[in-house]
Amino acid sequence: MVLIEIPQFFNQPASSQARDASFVRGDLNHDRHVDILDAFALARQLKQGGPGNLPLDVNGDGVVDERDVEALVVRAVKLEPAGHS
Amino acid sequence: MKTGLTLLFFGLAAGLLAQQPAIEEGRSRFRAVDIYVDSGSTPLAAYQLEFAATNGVARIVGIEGGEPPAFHQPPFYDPKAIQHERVIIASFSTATAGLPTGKTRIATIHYQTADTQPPQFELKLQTAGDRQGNKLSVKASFMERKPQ
Repeated sequence: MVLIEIPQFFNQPASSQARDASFVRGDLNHDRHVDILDAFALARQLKQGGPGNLPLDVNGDGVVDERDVEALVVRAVKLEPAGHS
Repeated sequence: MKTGLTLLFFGLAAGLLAQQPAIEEGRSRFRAVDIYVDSGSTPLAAYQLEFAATNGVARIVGIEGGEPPAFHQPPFYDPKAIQHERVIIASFSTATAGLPTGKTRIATIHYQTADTQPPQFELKLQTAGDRQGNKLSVKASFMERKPQ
């Protein structure tokens, strides 16, 4: 298991993150979508062993590990009603 | 009165049963569609696609990985897609070598269909990436496998 210190930004309460209208939790590459490229970005960071400056603790459990990659993948492929995914 | 209601009930039930699609009556076949991504000369490291059967005669029953080692494992998908008509598949590889270039079969989708009419499919590329995680312009396509 790879453990990485969470950047200070992500210890902020969600309300302060929500003030930034462009903030999408899990949108690591800042393209306003959570997709496989976000999971890929996090997987690459974990493989390289460094947190970089990405918002990494996606599932909010205080640890950055493969489970955050999984959380991003699950969100990326989640089926919403037609036309909403 | 009671007899009338009973007859109405059986009449409605018979009508509903008569409308059951052929796919549920056993007159069905299992087929497969190969999914391809062509990334040109740039190695493909990640992709995400939406696949759908659009005319109501096919249901997704399984999803298989692709040809290159980097995408040999089945892609990620929502299990709710099974027995339904739409799925989002996605996969990535953090390998530094062996990523595919050119037109590559990255997955195969297995489906069950009735013989009443040929199924119609739709494939939408959602995103793709190179080994640095940059968005990559690719072409996505599919081809139905010929029945064995």
